[in-house]
Amino acid sequence: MEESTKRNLVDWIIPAICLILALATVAIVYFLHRGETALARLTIIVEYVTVILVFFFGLIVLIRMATNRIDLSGLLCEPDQNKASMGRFQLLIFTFVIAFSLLLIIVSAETPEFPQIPSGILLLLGISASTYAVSKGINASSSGGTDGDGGAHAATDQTISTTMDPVTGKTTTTVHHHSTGKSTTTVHEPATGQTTTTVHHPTTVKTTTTVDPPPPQPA
Amino acid sequence: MLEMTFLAKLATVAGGILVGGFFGVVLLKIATGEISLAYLLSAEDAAGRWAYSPARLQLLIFTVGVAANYLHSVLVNPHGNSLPDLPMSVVAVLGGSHAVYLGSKAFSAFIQPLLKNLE
Repeated sequence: MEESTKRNLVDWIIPAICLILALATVAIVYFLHRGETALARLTIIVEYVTVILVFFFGLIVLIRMATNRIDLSGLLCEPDQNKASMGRFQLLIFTFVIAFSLLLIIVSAETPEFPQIPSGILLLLGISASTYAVSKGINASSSGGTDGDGGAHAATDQTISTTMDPVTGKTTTTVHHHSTGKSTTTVHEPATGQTTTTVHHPTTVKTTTTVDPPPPQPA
Repeated sequence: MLEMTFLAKLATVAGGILVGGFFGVVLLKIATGEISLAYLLSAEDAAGRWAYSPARLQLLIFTVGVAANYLHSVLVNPHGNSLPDLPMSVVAVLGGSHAVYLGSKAFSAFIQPLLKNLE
């Protein structure tokens, strides 16, 4: 079975399970709570279906993150950079610590209920998120060199070299980004009219090649 | 009441799976190098070189210290209807640490290029 067919199958299985579970919940609540009013039954159904939907939405995101269909390679780096940002890293740490603590308190309680959040914790999260936002603001307003948390880059950040074969007319252009290490090679062949673009990213060690227009498929 | 308890337990289990899953995936990707931590403690100096940054190191130390201390206080006493509070002095110290980091960042982004142009 082809990879894309497998992916499509997985893409359909989880929403299908979610739908079946939601429908089963509706049926179960309908039959178990026959003596109650329609509004009471509707309330229970909405509560269960909300939990099911949120869980499956999260599950789909989680599976896509695990299978690299949601790219996390730049989670701690600003766009077009290969350098980790402390602003992002500290926000990640605090978010996970508070989320875990919240979960632990809820699990440990005799009757699960949402705990109160003290002002000190709100202040902590506020400081953390503000640092991230201010850090991004500094990067955006500064031009040229940055300290790794992103920002605009001068044109000198990249080296462009172009060579042309005088016999075949084939043109090869290579763009190398110094800060990210990413290199893009574009080869244009006038004979076939095809342009092959190869992008190599050192962080993810991924090389992707695209051919435009695509070569004809063998019969 | 029974219904609400079951629903709350269901939501807790679902939340646990998702939070644990997100944390696990991110941690695994950091461990395998897929999420890069390169240059986490470095900053660009006036000459354009990447060098070790004390401002970033102190922020990392305070962040890890406060996070570990908080997690410890939750693990020691997880029973209660509220998250443990953080003393204002700790919040103030952390705020100071963040201010130093941002100050250093603003200095390297705005002041250093000006000083370099004046030379």
